[in-house]
Amino acid sequence: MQKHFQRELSMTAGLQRASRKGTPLRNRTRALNIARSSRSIKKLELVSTLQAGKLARFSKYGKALGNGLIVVDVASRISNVQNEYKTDGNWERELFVESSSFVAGAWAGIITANAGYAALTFLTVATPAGWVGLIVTAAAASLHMNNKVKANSGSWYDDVMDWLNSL
Amino acid sequence: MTFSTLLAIPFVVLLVGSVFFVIFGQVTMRKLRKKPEIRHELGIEFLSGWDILSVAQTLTLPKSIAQRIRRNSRGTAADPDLLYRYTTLFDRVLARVFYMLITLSVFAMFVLIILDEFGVFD
Repeated sequence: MQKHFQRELSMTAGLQRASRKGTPLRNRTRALNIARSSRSIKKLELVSTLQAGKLARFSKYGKALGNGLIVVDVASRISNVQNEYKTDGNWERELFVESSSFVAGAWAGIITANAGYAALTFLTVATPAGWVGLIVTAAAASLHMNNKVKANSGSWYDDVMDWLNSL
Repeated sequence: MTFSTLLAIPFVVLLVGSVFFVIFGQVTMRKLRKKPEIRHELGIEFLSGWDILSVAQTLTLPKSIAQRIRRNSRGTAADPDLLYRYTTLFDRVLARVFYMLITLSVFAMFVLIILDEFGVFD
């Protein structure tokens, strides 16, 4: 069986286009280095391959969802500013409101997730419910902060502008 | 003072903290990522740049607590022992200033929002 596996391996490796750096199948050190230098998943001590698969899927969804949400969010903010500009509104004010609420909302979510993650490790049973709860809490915190800052930063802009004009 | 003015104060602190975030990321993190001994021990990256936060958190928390988090996290948190070996006092102060500014301002904003919800500022 060992021999059979070796033969299959060399056949599969031969099928792959020859690369100067070598493929992961031919060189074990190279494979390890490739896996290590991946920026997405850091060294993890996983108990089973099932767990590894689940985590990889989660991180894939998380990445797509995270980046996708940011793109959608930023796009909607930009279109708000553009609408204000088109209707001859105070688009600078709108830009200030949108960017400040984005900053505050993002930090609120990030800090909640970061601190919550550390807190979760203290619980001996960090069940999936805990993780889901953490994500939901962080998202809710971020949204709420976004709404509150959006409602108030317009008056901050007016105050700053009044102060600048009074100089 | 009105709720709006009060909320502006931690927001300005948050902006200052964001400047420290960039400085910390460029000064300390760049240095740490270059060291092969510690490159893989900076914590998991849920999003790109997440390790900046986990390193700052590890350096800000008391060492014993950071070590416990590291033990419990199955290697997804930053390694405090290695971090203390490879950072200077300046790096640690930078990490603490950055992390405290951000967390305290976010926390203050949440407290203000909750107080406002209970009608303290009406």
